[in-house]
Amino acid sequence: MLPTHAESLLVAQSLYKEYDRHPVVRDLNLAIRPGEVYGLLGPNGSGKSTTIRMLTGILEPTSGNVSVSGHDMRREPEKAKASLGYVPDEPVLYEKLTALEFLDFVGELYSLPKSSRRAAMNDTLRMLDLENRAGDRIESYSRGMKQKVAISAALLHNPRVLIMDEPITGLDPIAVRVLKGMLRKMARSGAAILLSTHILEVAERLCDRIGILVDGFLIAEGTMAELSAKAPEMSVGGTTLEDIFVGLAAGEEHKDIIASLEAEEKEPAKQAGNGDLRPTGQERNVGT
Amino acid sequence: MRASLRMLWISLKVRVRLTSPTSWLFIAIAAVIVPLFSFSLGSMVGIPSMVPQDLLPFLTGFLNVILFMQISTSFSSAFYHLYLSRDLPLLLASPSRPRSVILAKMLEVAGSGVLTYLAAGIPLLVALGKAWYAPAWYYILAAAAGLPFAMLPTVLAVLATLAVCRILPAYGTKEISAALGTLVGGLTYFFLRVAGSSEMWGQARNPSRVSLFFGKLGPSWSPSTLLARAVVEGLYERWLPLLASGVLFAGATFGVFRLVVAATEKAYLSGWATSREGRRGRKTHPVFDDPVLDSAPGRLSRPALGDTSDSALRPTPGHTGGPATDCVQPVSSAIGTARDLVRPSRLAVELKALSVESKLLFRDLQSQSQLLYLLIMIVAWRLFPGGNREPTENGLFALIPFFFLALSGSNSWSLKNMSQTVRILRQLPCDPARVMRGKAFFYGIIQTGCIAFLVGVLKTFGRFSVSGLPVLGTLWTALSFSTSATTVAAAAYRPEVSSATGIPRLDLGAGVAAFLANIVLCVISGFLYVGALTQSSPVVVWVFTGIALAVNAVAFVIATNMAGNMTRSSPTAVSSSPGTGGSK
Ligand SMILES: Nc1ncnc2c1ncn2[C@@H]1O[C@H](COP(=O)(O)OP(=O)(O)OP(=O)(O)O)[C@@H](O)[C@H]1O
Ligand SMILES: [Mg+2]
Repeated sequence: MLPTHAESLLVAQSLYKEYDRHPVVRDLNLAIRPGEVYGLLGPNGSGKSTTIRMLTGILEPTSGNVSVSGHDMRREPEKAKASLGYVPDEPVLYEKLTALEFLDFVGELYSLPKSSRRAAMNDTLRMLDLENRAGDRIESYSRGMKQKVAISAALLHNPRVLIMDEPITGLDPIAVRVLKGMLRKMARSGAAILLSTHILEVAERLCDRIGILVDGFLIAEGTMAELSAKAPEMSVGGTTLEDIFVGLAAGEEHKDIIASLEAEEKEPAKQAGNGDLRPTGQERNVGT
Repeated sequence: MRASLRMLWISLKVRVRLTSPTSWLFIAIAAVIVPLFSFSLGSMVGIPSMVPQDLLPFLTGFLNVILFMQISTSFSSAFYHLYLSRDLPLLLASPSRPRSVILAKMLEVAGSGVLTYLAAGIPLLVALGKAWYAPAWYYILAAAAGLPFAMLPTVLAVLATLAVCRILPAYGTKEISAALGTLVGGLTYFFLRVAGSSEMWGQARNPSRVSLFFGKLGPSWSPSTLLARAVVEGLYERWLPLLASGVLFAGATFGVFRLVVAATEKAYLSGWATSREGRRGRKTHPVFDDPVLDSAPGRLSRPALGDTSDSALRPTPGHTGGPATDCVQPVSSAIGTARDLVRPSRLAVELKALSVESKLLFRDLQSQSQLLYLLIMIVAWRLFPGGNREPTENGLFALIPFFFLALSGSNSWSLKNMSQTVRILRQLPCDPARVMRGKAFFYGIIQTGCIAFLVGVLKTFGRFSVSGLPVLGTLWTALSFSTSATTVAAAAYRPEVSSATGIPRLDLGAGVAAFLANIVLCVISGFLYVGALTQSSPVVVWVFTGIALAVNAVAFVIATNMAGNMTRSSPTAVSSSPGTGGSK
């Protein structure tokens, strides 16, 4: 592991965090190189957001180290944070400001000179199709529009390391497509990107490497090919990322539940007499 | 520095934008009432007849009382602003200096102290200026002194918060707020003990004497002494001493503030400090409630509100009584309380709302420490009753709870969850006024408790006896409920209003309106009480009391109905994001 640290932009070493004496992230090691897009997957409550908060310096780890662009988060927080862009899981915005005013404020926080600030603001807003609403107050925005503002704020200072917590929540398909393109372009120009997501299709298409976090442990890490090599051991069948994910991350009970639900689906005739369960089957059909 | 000024500017801007046109109207009304108040206050404390050598201790005492009010409010707000405000992820992830973050947060805390000074201190200073024919610059300086005057309470509160958070790093927010509550409780207790131990209460009829006593409390270098000296020199237009004490006052307070900002920078950001970013509560032991049951198909597959059309959920005007009117059908199983609300009992909705409200209140950090603070005071008074108890009769005593109730319009407890309540209510097939009644009832109970506590304190320390305590007690209780209802109504008006940092606030205009309504209620009840006192026949006394009760009951019903209607009509209530609704 150590050799890669020298060239990695974002490094986490033995990251450990507990809340009220209950471990939430356990001994996590990460190293993300320039040009790499890293996807962090995991069930709800597995510790993705906690990990990301520690990586961005918002949350102090119980033990372990983070370094960004070679700067230790504890010793040189300002230098480390200067090259970092962060999209939180819930957009943190001042609702009474307009998008322009908000981005202007964020630019100030990152000490962007006034001239380049304007240009950068217009650029990101145009790409995310927010240009003609940018003068309205954020409180009047839809959920997706707020998310776009949060993304614009993170991209404003053209960070070398970009960390995004479920960035595509609420975005429309066009915006998702644009965002994917923007992220790939940033990666090509040498940025390191880490994002957490529940949308496996995005992880599969966008990420060079994927890590799966379960109960605070990083239980698997690697490229798609490496992960699907692992999948057969887990006995769910199939080699899509979803199969791999379910195989690795789901507990035994949930695997059983999934199996029984899918069995029901295959034999709808059997359910015909049972009025109570029928809507359930139909719902599942819609869902999957 | 620039960044923190910028943060301050933004929160100011946000505050002005939050104010609607109707609010400005009420602010204008208040702007007329405050000067009137200060004139009457001036004659009440006998300022025109005050001898010059009494002036300095009197002012010091008065400012000490304001200082104390500022300290107790900033203790709970410091914790909130420093550790729980919503913009922390943004600010802490940015490369801005930690110093500017803590500076901005400290200025936010100081802001509330400035408001206390403006509301309580300025009227008196204006009254003094009028009596002494002070020139215009006296008023300007008096207003400008508000900011430095709020610095010391802020510094104390921030230091205490940081200290507690450093000492208890491994523990949860509960322990932190408990420790802070204990600190404020102890401080208050100390303050009142010192005040109560002297002979001053015997002279309570002469308020300037009371203040004279408080004036002895502060050391000569305390900001209240310094400011009082500056004010007196200003009143007598003695330039050199004014300059000296003014510079000393401003220099000392700003100096201490600056020092603390520099010293606490590290303490704020290291260790436990930033870990409170996530505001979620958490059970200490992970509870795995039967996962099979939790994810049973019946539960999983229900569409979350999907097929419930808006019109089916809207309460219809006819829904006001009878068992069938409760709730139509448990259409939305996504909201757990919906099903619980469908009990045929007449008061089921109100009672449920009351119990939910109590849970929300008791689990909220800030109110926890406030309640704890009350509790500690009660225990302290039980353990160490002070003063000797020769009852003296005093009409002022009866008035104190009235003041308290009038002021409770600004009590923000009912605000905390109002925006969520409104959003949920709009989805439920229930009459929202019933839920509001439950809320108001709950806060009525809390306020009755507070009054009982206040009366207990005053009886212990003040050696007062009151004529007609049963009548008074009934009136106070009735007022508790009606004024809680007006407060709930004020909170239901534009429930989405919150500070720049996401802390819910009362809409300014609605707050003033509730305050005025409370004053009207208190005045009516007070007159009826005085009227009852002058009657000799007990039957007539209780008739008077009955009228007062009826007035308050009507106010309660009107206010809660208004609150219910507002949840239906306020168009902005749904503006904040309704959860993320992940896919899959
Ligand atoms: N402030 C907090 N106090 C106590 N426990 C917390 C706190 N924040 C998070 N947790 C706990 O830490 C664990 C991990 O939470 P985290 O938010 O990191 O999950 P996640 O992987 O991001 O989940 P999701 O997919 O739902 O976003 C959870 O069990 C959560 O309950
Ligand atoms: Mg998360």
